[in-house]
Amino acid sequence: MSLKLAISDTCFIIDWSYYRKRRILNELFQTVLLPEQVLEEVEDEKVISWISKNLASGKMLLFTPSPLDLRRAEELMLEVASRPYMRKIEIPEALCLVVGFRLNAVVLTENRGALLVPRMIKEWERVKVWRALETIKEAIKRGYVRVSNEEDIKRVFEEYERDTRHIFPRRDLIKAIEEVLSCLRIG
Amino acid sequence: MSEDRLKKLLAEIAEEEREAREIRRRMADWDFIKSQPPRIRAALEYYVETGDIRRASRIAGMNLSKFRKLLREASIPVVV
Repeated sequence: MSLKLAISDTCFIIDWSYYRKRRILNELFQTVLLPEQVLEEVEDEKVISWISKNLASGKMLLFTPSPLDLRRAEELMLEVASRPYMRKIEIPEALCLVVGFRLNAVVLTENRGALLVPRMIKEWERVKVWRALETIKEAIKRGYVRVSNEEDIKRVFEEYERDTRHIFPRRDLIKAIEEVLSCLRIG
Repeated sequence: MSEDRLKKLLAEIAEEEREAREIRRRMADWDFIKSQPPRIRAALEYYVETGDIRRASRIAGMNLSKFRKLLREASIPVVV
């Protein structure tokens, strides 16, 4: 069964649009929210075209944040900035975290600062933040991408790296492959 | 978070960032980067060192989308 909601930031959606298996995002989630601030940052024709198709089919939803969301995003941004050991975040990714927290939506991001928020700030621990790595891993585990052996699994991740010129940290990739293997009882 | 836990986490993060920076440095097309106008070259070099796409795109005077495209042209991977 697909998950209900996700909210994507700009970096994630730009890279994901280049992935040959980008359709799996539509299978994983019933709806992907796209904040207006994110759409404004996208100019690439390929990305815009894919987003438009998804908006037309209702798989993506343009999201207008409430004034309260924006205020909370600003507060989060300042909270992160007040911790010198954390990487700064800006309004678009802070907004995704705030809305993800409020609506229990998975936050899709490739922003290092946003990824660190649930790791480093206790009050934000419960927000689910996924990179493409976790998104692909979940898609395989839930059967949206068919694999029959370890090589197949590796190939799915490699395709993403090739299509987008994005590299997964090797340690995280090995862990993800092991998790999929164990979940599907392959190997 | 206890001080020990925070120290451990910070060490992990520093190691992740170091590895990512090494990959960006190794894979970057330095001839392409050096052939760019000063502002763009500075932005690409900044990105290689930090991985901070937002700030790098501001240095380049480009939006995020265009800067991501430029990273592909410069063979600089996003490592996340």
